[in-house]
Amino acid sequence: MTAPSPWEPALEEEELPGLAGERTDLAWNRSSLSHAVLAAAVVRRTWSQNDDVTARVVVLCVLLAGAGVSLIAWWRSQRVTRNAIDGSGLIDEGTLRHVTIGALLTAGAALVLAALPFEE
Amino acid sequence: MTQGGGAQPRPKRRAPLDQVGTEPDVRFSYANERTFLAWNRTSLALVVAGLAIASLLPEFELAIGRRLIGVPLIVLGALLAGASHRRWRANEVAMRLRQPLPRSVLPGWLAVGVGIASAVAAVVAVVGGPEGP
Repeated sequence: MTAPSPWEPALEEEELPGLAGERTDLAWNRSSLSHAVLAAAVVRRTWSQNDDVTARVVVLCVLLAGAGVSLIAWWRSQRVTRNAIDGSGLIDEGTLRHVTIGALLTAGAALVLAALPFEE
Repeated sequence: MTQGGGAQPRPKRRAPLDQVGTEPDVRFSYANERTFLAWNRTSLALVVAGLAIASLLPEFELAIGRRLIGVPLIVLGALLAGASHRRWRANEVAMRLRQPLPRSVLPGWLAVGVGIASAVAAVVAVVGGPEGP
């Protein structure tokens, strides 16, 4: 008797695919909140600390990247549970790519902010 | 058999994932996606930590002390953000082709990076810690 392939569904379904969609929905919501809170915290903390135009442009970039990723993640979370049930659009490589780009832009902006001298 | 003896030109674009192999169990795809999101949030946490260290801590006696600790954490966060997307795609391709998942280097990177940042912080704290009140 051959061992079942690791990619075959379990013989006894312990949970329906819909629950996996719900967990993924929650994960996207957490990510959406994380990006939004990060952007707000950076803007709140650094906007008033530095009057330099460069710093303020960078801070705005952080805000836009964080808000953009947050909206994308929220949109994905709305679709995940429904997609798990009807089996459509399970893979959304574009959304994951946008989230990655947003995180990279945020990191780049943070790098610039970290290098700038701040007024104490 | 190729003409001219030259190597086959590389495809300009990777094939879309939905054209690779067969659809795996939806739970596996979503587990892969949740893992990517967890790494993404970890990278954000590192970026926030690095920025907070570089800008919110009091000045150290060592002039570049704060940046010496904070900047590597931000860089590590950026590396994890990019690598997590590659990891997600490699996992998805392996699942669709019914192959074993590739080994992940991300936990190692995270452990080494945080360890190095901690060691640097310890050295900075000893050599040129925060200035007195």
